[in-house]
Amino acid sequence: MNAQWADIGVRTLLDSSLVLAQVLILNRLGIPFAAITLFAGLAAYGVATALHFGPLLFILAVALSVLLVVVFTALVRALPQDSYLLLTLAMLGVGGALVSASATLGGQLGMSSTSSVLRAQEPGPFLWCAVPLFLLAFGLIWLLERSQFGLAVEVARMARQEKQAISLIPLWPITALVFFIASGLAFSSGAFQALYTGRVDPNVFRIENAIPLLVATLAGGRSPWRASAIALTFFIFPDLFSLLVGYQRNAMAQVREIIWSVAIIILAEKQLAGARIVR
Amino acid sequence: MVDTDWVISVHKASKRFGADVLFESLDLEIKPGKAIRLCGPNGAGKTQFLLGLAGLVPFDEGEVVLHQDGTRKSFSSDPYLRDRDIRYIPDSLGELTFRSVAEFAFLLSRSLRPFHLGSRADAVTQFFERVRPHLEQVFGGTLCAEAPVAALSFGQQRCLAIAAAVAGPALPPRALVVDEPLTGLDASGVEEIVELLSEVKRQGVALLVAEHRPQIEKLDFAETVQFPYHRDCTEEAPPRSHPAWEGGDAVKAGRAETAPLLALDSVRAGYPGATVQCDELRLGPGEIAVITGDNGAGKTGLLKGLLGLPPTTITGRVEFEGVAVPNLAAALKSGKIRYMRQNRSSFLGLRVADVVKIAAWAGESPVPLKVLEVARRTGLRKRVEQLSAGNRALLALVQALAGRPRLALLDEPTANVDPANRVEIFSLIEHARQEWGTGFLVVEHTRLPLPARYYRIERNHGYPRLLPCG
Amino acid sequence: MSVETLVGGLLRATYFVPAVLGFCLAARHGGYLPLWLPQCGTIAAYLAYYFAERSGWNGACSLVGALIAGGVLGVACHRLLFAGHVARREPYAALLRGVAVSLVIENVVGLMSSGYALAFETLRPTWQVVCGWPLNDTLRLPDLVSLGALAVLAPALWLSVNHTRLGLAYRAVASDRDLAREHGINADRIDTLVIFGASSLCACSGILYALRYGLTPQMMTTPALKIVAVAVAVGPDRLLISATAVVMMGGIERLCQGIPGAAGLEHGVGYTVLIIGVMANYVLRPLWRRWALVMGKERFNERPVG
Repeated sequence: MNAQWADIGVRTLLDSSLVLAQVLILNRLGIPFAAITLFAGLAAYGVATALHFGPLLFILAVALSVLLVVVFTALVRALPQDSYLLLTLAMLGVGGALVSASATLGGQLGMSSTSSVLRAQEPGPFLWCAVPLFLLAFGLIWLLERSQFGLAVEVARMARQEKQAISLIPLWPITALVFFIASGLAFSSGAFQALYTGRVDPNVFRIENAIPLLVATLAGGRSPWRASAIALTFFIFPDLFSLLVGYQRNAMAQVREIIWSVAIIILAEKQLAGARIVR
Repeated sequence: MVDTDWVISVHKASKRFGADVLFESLDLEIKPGKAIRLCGPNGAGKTQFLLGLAGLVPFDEGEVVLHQDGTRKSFSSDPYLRDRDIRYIPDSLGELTFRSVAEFAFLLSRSLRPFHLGSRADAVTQFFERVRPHLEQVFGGTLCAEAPVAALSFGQQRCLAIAAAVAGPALPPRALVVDEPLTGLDASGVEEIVELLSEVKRQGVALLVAEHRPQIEKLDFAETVQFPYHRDCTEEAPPRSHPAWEGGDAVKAGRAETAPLLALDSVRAGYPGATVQCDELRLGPGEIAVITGDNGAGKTGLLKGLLGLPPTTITGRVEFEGVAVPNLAAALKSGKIRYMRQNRSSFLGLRVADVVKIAAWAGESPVPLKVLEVARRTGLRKRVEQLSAGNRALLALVQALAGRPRLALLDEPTANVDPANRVEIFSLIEHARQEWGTGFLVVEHTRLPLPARYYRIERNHGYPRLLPCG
Repeated sequence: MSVETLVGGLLRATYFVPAVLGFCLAARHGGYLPLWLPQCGTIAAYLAYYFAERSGWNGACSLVGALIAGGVLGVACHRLLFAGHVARREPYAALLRGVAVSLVIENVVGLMSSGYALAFETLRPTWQVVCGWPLNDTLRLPDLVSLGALAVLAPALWLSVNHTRLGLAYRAVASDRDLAREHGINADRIDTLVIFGASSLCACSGILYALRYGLTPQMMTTPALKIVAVAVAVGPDRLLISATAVVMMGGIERLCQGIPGAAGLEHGVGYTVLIIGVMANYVLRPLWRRWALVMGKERFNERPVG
């Protein structure tokens, strides 16, 4: 029973960390970014390949993540919001297509990511990774609420509509820094998830996997307390319900997807009302 | 001690939008304590120049250079770095006004340390306590640190923005670039801003000001730059007399006996919070009424309010062709009234021929020959975005007159239009007036070479009012 | 990889020509990318199956009924969820909602059909002709109808949009809705017509595809990606080029299938074209214009002559 709760705890905390990472970009910076799982997926495959082939591919995954952050940051002002969102989703799709086409990376079936140091499916040691990661993500958002850096991030958010705001802060460095922090959190979460589950496959890049995270992000808002509470509830609920009621978690996947999608339909009206053309 | 041994030079600055050249090969020298005024109609390029100078938009060509101590240094293209030397105050403060007074002043004074993890509340409080006496002296009253800036009047917001921009911990900028600082202000607000800018100038800061109102001349400008700026363009007023309107100096007596086309009594119309009071206005067939006023006075809002276009409001008595109506929306829909907007970027992607067809959509009669002739001259096969500013204005007028409306509301029909096209515009207006008896309600900054009655929007007892003038 | 495989891929992609035409019409009209619209094809296909196979309607009634139902549902969905965003010019919010609506439709259909693939029995196309090189396969009636869509429907639609009064009204509303209204064009009526037409075209694609290849809940999800990619890359105002481009993309995807060990790349083609389209429109084109300006290429400035 304790192992079961620990398992739920690890998965919930790692998924919630991903949500908080996306909150930094989507809610705090105001950038329409829906592909936080891209960094998690890169980390997952980086870890898996490092375990099989040595650290070189892991370093490549890190370098690719850094490059993606630079590209995403550079494109923020060049692209209108809808095109930017489409681009991020398309990058996810390309990532999925590339890994599923690669025999080295296991193709459609994926590859093993079991480590001898941290053994897969043993939640105890992973709690020591997941809890600090979550607290770090929470702490960063909490710091943004209170610090001058956070005020600069708010001004950066305003800069899409207000020309004057661009001269008040170093826009590109602020945006890049927040992106780096968020991608770092997502990368760490992805790496831990890969080690914990012991297997990675192209599904990590599926757009359908990004949707629940997007729902939790939109619902979470900018407050660290609200975002954390919603993210934790969001991810713990299916397992909790399954434990208490006894239904098969995977059997209700379609119902869950319908619920998340309806939530986006409702939240898109509320959260994004006023997100007019800012070309 | 403010450094005065420098010169900022602008070399051959140019900016174009499609077919429109806003300014070309503009050279300028900005010196300590020197004030430069930018003049020109809306859309002429003044704001684009100021934004380019501050690094917020790039010039298509040209550079901005600092000469100091015998050295020459190009400014960084990063607006944040350039802001230390050339600081921009926009005409509209937008979302920044949702901040508290203290935070607003903190941000605009550039006291924010963007990568500092220390408490923002403490930093803002400390800063505000330090500068409060100075700001309140400039402001002429007490400031509540926690109140939102949006609760202050326009004039107070501008004062606060300008005062904060030079009140930071570091040295003030070399140049302050201010866009239409007197827009929407009453006489006392104008005086405060002008006095504040004079003080800033006395401190050795160079000023570049885009402003129409004559009160700004108290700043004693060393130079005036006229926009649109072309290196070989001379601005000419249209000829006083022209064959198109010969003999039209006086309103035809016959028309004065018919019922007025448009009658306004105690009408209050415009954007919420910026409505204009019109006690009485009568416009007969073939007559022209011109509404003038400063930028931000409410002229466009008044027109839109009369037409019932959201989000404007209207109250009072409106009569069109002798019939009382809540507003002119129904007449607009039926084609009896047409509206020429200030924004000429309408029906982008369509050809001129298509636009003319659309303009005559609801009409029962074909497009008048005179109107068609003008449309042909702009180029029927051309797309709207390929036209110059002057041709777009002509096309907008063609759209307004293609259906032979009873009344045409024209919003700055000659703004940013070259002299030749201006003659065409007046010629077309006069033709419509004489041949079809179309009445015109025109918003303009200058007097027209056509017989017209003039009104001006002035702040009267604290709110804008439409008053007849000579 | 053989020529037959390539031609087969091109032929299969012609099924989505009506959908891409409908998508482009709606995208230009609404000023946003209606990702949900191709799912009208899924709904119409399942409705046609239900009418024909479960309710016993005759073939023509089933197909026409499904087409009309697809159109009507599209209009209802637009009115309920997207009309406000179009009026307020909020393409980002509309796009996000469109993604969600698309997923809802796919999962609802999946839930109702328990995820099983279905095939028409009573409406199974029986007429066929054996085709030699370069297809080396049998051509069925839905194949001919799809080819007809490319050859006839696309040019006809282009002509309607560019050379008829209704097409002019459509272009006016797409360009400036408020100004079009002021000139007496009924923008709401144009709205309904366009969305009904676009949804019906997508329904047509879905039904044709289902008649030939069967029904699955994801039948229009992957093609939707192709359609969006084409609309972004080519532009929703270029109907003929969009129709051709979607067919060519089908060929490229089939080519990828033929690459040994890289069959999975097939799914990345649409995403790649989308990325290239976005980058071309918003990064490369402005850079090109800036370069042309600097190099003094006057023709790029589009100044009027004289």
